[in-house]
Amino acid sequence: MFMQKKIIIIFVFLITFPSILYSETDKPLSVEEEIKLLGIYSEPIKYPDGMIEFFGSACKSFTCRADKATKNMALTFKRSKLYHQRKPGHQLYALAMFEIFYLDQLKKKEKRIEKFILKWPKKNNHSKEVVSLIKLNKSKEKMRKSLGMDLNTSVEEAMERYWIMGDFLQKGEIKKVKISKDIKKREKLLAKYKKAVASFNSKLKDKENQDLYNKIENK
Amino acid sequence: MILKLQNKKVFILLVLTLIFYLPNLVKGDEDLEKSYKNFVKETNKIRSQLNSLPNSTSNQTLAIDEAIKEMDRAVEFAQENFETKNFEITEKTLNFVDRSLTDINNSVPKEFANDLTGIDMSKLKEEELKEISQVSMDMKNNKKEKLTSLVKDMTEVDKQGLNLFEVSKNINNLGVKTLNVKDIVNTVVENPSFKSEIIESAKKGLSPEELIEQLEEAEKLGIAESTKNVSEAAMASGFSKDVMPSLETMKSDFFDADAHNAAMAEMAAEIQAGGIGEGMGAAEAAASYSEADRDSQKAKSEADCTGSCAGDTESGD
Repeated sequence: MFMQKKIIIIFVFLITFPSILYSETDKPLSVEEEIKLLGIYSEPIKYPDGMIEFFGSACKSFTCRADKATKNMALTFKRSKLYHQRKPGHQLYALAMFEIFYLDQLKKKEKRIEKFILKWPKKNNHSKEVVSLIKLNKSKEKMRKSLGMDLNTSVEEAMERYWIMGDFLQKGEIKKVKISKDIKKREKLLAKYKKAVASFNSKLKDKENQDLYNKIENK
Repeated sequence: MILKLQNKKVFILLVLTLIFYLPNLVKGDEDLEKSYKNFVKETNKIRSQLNSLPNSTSNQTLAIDEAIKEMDRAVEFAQENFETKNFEITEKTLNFVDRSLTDINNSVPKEFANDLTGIDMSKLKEEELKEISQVSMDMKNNKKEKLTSLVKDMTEVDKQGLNLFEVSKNINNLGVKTLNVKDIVNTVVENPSFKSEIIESAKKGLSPEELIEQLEEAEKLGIAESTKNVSEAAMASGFSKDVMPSLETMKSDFFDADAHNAAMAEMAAEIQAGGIGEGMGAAEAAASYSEADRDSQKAKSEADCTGSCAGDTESGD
């Protein structure tokens, strides 16, 4: 009888806390901690010179700049691999624009996040907006990490670093190399292979995040 | 009688728990299962496309084909582990496959090459030089962290039955530059607590003599010392692939700008192939989300408001 009860208790515990079934080295953050990481909106004090040039003299407000940056970023992300080989700095400029895009999203959703915090965990008003911002913030963190920055790096510094690296890559001379058809075919398949592996692997890694998103949305 | 009642209570508790929690668990597993099916379908398709490519006489193409074939074993092993719900080993094996595919991809010549050798470094502003130097150092540290984690993953995977050190060795033997004995030795020396485990696994897949020789050499010098020696040698020539020169060196007459630029080109390739792509994919998804889903989300939020959020706008003003 005692044994039976013990088994049932263990079973209930495992169902209630499924995350312990996986051995995770990092303790997952709570919803409140994740929201704290989103940061607080404040307009950047400084932009990279090249970025100001891109905005133009007529576009000085943050709203106008965010709009322009978002459009440019979306366009760059859609470009082909060949385009990025020809314009190697543009990806990095787009990452600088992403910083503004994120800030703009934060500004637009700030009040809703406040409302969410006030009512959480009793209610989950505006949960989708909160989840969308958490996902954006995680993307921002990954992109910054690849250039040695983290969420503590200021927006101004991050934009400057992306821009300088973009400028540097743009200074190079793009040379067309003759590639055989055999190599081109393999390159394409290799890219597909890598994408399939990376995509499934990131689903596996994202399991913990997905649990957090489900927790927020399915309250 | 009391015992029976208690039993009933426990049973009811169990049923209620199942009712409340099972849908969430099933949903999460369903998503993952769906992704897995797509992954198997996609990788099978790619592998059959690769196998059906006409044979090439070029050594470079042959090396790429053989290197990709080396991945098959690892991918199959990852799939077997997923099917037995060993997600941890699946992930660790795929980390290795991902890194190896990046290395194979880097060995493939690109249609457009960015030649940075013509850049006049003296025309760069001091701030720019500092920033580029800093990025290089930070990227180097990132690389080191990733390498340590990868070697640990490979050791864990070996315990489950697949020696990825051997796979790495085979890829290197084909002429594709990937994780090698030196990388492993550096990881071991910097993480002494994992030394015996790593060495035991690595010995099975690599040449034990070479591994021991490299290890003895590294330990004789001490890693700090050897790094210092590398730095000093690099500084003397004004350049190193791994150690960025100081601002002063960069500006001096002895600074080998061409060599430095070659290193920067390598770094640029890494930017293209590395973690940025991963983040970009997520950002791309996030950006497209804002276009298409924002309206429906807004409509739903408004419907949820039922009068209490009157006056709310998208910006919350």
